[in-house]
Amino acid sequence: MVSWFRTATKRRCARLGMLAWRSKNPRICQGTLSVIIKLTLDLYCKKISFFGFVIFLITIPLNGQETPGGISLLEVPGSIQADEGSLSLVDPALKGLKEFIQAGDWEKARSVAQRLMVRNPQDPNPHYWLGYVLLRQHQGIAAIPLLRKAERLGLEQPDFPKVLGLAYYTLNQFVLFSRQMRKAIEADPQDPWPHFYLGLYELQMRENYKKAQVNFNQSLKLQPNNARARYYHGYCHEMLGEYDRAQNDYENALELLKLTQASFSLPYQRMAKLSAGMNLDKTLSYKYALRAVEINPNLAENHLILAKIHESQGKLTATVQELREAARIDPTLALPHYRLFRILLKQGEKNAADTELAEFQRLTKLYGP
Amino acid sequence: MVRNYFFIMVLLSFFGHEGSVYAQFGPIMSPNLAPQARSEQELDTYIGIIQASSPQETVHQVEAFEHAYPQSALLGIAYQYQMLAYRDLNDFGQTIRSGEKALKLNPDNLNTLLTLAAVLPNSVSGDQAEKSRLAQAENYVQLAFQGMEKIKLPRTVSPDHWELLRRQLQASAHESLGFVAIKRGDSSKAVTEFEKAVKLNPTPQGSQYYRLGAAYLFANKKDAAIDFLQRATELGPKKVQIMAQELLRKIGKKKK
Repeated sequence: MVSWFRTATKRRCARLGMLAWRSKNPRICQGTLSVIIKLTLDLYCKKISFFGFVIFLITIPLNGQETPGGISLLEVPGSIQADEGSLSLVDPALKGLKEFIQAGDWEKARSVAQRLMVRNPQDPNPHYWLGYVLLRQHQGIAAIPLLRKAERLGLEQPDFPKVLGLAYYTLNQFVLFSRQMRKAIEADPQDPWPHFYLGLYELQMRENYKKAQVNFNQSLKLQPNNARARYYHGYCHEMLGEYDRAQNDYENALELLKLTQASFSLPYQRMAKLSAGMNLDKTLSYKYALRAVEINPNLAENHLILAKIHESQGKLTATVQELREAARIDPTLALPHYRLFRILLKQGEKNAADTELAEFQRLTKLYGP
Repeated sequence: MVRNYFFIMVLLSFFGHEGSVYAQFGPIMSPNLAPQARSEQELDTYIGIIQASSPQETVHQVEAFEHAYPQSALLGIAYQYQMLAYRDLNDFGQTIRSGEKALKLNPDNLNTLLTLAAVLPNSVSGDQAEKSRLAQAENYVQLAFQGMEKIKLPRTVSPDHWELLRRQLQASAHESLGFVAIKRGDSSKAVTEFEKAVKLNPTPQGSQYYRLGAAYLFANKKDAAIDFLQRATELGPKKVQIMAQELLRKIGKKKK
């Protein structure tokens, strides 16, 4: 059992970065909630759809910060923005959209775009922006026909293939997503973001770390100061067992984050894990783990790694606390329950340990190791 | 007794399972296994099915999709839409045909299995055909139970949310078994199954209470029947309310 669990845990750690939903920051939770509400409504309206459920499954975390290796394609600041030029070119009224879009006020943006679309049904721009806004509102199914209509009406918008590609991604349509990203690269070879998105896709969906790395490399060539691309590049090294290279990338990512003062916990988390795993300076791994939790206390993995370091230092109360926090943040995780079982058993709390073991078995059955 | 039996059967057959539409499970549980459209046009047409504004339109859209993309990986789900559309149109024969096509492509689809299990007893006629259809409905329910046991969830579905969904699915499965029992004239089993459906369902449904009340009536337990029929009138929807009220009126509201 223990041996199996070790293997499972290794595998689990290897996939540590794969799940975007674990970000759990308030913005993401809000997005997820809205999709759950949509799903519930759909169920009652007998309109539950394949795509409806898929959206529920994937839930793009808008502006989410923490996706260890997971895809949160719209998260990346500046990747797709309503630039003034494109908005003002065709219709000055479209300018009003810019403020709402930049403020993230999707409801108002949607309302303006709808009005513009009714007023100018042959103008591709309102279709495009309404599609874009719907995409940000997690309504990929509604967004795609509008984006496609904009395309048919002759839209000239450099970001279009990226937006359409991301809309396809939300519906798990990866063939079409990849095609659009390749179009985006053809349209603007200097744009780092299609490479970045393709990298995340290879990483998360295909677990093809080498191919993901090629894409992140390309993205970094075009935008060397992108801390996230550097981090994911390192993450691929880590998944390939190239720990020194991974460490190097994480350290570079941390430097870049310091320069931009951006908040991103994952390089700290991975540094903590790597240094703990390599039996390096324990104080250092503790510092990294603590910093990761400080930056993002809503990420279960950050607590799991801190728990591991506490445990290695014999601080069992703190370990239990962190494991419980990880289990609270992510109720699908079986791992914290198994570790709690072991610790509670050591402490002689048999009943509590059995409860944790039962929960571990239940979750393993439901979600796999 | 025979007259009563047919009376109850007609009542029970009148409406389908309200809760028989569920989230799609099966291969698409994992995003990286999701069926892929090969072209933008294929996906456009598929989205047309989802966005259809009426069951009739859904049926036509699926036909067009099938014609244009006979090899599409999305066809299994498209048939599922068609099945549900036909069910909404009360065309049980076509519901079964579409459902069977959907199952052929996605055999583990819980939604399709349970929809077919619910519809099959409605469509039986003639002794031999009836036996076979009822057995098939039971088989689909068993497959659905097995599917629920072995399902691997994506981590976006929390254990609590799955628990709700699972109970809803199980309630629907027991409802179908109750309906099969009624068709076989086994009132005792029907009551047991409908009771399970009512107990399991996290969202009380008027139709299930109505069926339980009707099954009690079939089992000559008028007092129990009245309780459940009255609950059905409270829960609705309108169609169920009217039918439950009508039944209460016919049997007399007062308990013995």
